[in-house]
Amino acid sequence: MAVPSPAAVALHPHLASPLPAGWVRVDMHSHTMWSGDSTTTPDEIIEAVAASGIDVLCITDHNAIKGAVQLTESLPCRVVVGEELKTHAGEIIGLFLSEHLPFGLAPREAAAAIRAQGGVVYIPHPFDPMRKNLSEAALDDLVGAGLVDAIEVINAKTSLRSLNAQAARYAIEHSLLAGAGSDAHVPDAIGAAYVEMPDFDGPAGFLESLRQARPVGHHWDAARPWRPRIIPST
Amino acid sequence: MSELLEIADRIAAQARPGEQVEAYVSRGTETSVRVYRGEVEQFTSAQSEGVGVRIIRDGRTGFAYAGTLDSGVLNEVLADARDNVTFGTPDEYAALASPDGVAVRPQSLWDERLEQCSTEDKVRLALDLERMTLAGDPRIRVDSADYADGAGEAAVVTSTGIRSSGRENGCYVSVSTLADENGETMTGFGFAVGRDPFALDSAKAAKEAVERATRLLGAGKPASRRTTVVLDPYVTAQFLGVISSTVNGEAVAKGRSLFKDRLGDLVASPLITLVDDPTDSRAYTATEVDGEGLAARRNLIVEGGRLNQFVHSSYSARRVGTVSTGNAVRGGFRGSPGCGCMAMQLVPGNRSPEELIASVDDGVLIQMVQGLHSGVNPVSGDFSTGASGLTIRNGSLAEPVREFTIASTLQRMLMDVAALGNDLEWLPMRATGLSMVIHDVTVSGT
Repeated sequence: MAVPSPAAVALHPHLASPLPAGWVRVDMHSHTMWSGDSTTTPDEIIEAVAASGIDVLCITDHNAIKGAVQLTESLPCRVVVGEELKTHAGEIIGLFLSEHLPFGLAPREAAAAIRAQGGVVYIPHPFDPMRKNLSEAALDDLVGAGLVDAIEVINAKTSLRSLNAQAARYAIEHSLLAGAGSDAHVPDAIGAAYVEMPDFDGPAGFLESLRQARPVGHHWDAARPWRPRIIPST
Repeated sequence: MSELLEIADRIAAQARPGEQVEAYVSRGTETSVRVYRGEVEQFTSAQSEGVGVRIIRDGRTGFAYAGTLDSGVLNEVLADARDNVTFGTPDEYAALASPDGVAVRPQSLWDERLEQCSTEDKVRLALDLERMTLAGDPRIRVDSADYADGAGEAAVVTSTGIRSSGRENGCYVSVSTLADENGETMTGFGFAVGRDPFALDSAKAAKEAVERATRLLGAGKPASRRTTVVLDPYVTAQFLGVISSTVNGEAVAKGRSLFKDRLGDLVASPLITLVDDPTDSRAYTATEVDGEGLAARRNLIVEGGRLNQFVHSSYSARRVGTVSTGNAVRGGFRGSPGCGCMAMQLVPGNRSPEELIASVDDGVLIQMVQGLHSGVNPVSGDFSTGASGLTIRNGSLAEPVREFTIASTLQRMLMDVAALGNDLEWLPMRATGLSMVIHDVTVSGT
């Protein structure tokens, strides 16, 4: 387990809490400049990850995996390649991806495509309309079809605690695994939310460990200072 | 309408000595239909009515509203607003508008054909739009096809002598497209705006949505350089939306505008004449009266490149020692009016978009920008935004390009405008588009 810096703890005090031996902190939802709406460069994310002490970062850029793939070798933590996919009825995250998925699919098609490459279907901010949430009808449909592995019960950008609580209740009622993530669009957000869980290997191990996970986090959505955009190839 | 005025009259007449009382009374309906794969996916039909009461006494403002016009509730709203005055922070500029002698310019903002349009017809318009779009190209998927309309009437009466009312309706269809080829997906969109749903040009909306998505297929990154860009009308309208915040009197009064000390200065190319004209009934946001009940009017913001005026509500005007320009905007009976542009429009040039493109040896047609609002530094005017479009080479459109930024400053961009098109395009927003040629913009690609 990496040690968070005092500056990171000042931003996200829960980083100071001890972690059981053999456990890791996994941020299940984050963005980089490959997302288009984030300006976080590779250098900045390397620095932020080191400061936060996050062990595993799921990089879930909007409709892109190129950045996640590229950063796999360069970050001072493990990287799970993911994609936050715009579907016709809202956003779905695929984790442990090897191929870029097309956007604008129907939710069932998107979830099936994630599963087809051995990925994990994760529903971000399921009840937050400010975050392009998957519609409730589509969520119910996917859950009914057994196409959801986990849902996000703490999204650090969701400003209403009640919406995260609603997601947690939904997870319990539907026997879904609970995840958490910073939804970081700026470097300092890394560490705002994550799950603490036993270390794992691969998607199956990830899901197994997630059963014991403790979602941790707080609302953190500081405004981005203006800076010129960099548009990398996706 | 007369009933709304009567209700507002009754409330405003109850002003006590030392009080200013404003009653804003409105009714409205809206419909939206979204179809997907030949089925209605969402249908919303909503009605609302209500009253908002603002009372000002000794510089303190109290406001209350109710979502009903029930006569038994109106006095409660008035009493609540009066109670709320005691909680208000004194503001020496707080006051209601007073009649300013500017006559209301009657417009045709109400079309009975929209009132007569059945729900079935509205659904059919959305379905037809989806069908026409899909028929345009086999590589096209439709993300959503929508029909939307709204109709509203409102009355404002104040104890300071304002007594006005108006009504307007409007509708539009829009379609979002995805085009797939060789594992890549490109997006497009198309609109048609009007007041008569049976006259909406859905075929044009469908055609544009198909073209916008398919012509980007195979796009690569352009070479980085300073070059000429031609903004698509929709992109121009988005930039006007950003510029509108810099000429907003409230921003000026608070010292937050780039142009706060520039009145009378040359701030744009002499080709630029920019008006905020809610009296042009072709604009989707046209109106006869503003949110305080003053006559809407054509305001000349920039004339021949020179900054002529800002837009003001009576409040922002008072703060800077001028008069309202009829630019009080309010979101309905639930809130107090603010200040804002209502229907921005560039006075068009005399050349078609094709002629504009033919005049460019090397450049880029900017079809879409991403994240423009967050891409503009409101203090410095610097902007840097992701973009996609088509290369212009020797006066003709050439290969598609994407994943690049365009960057400049708003101030410099306005000065560098080299030509304006004659292709005014009405959009469901507070700005109208046209093609615009700008020199010396930084394109950052490879």
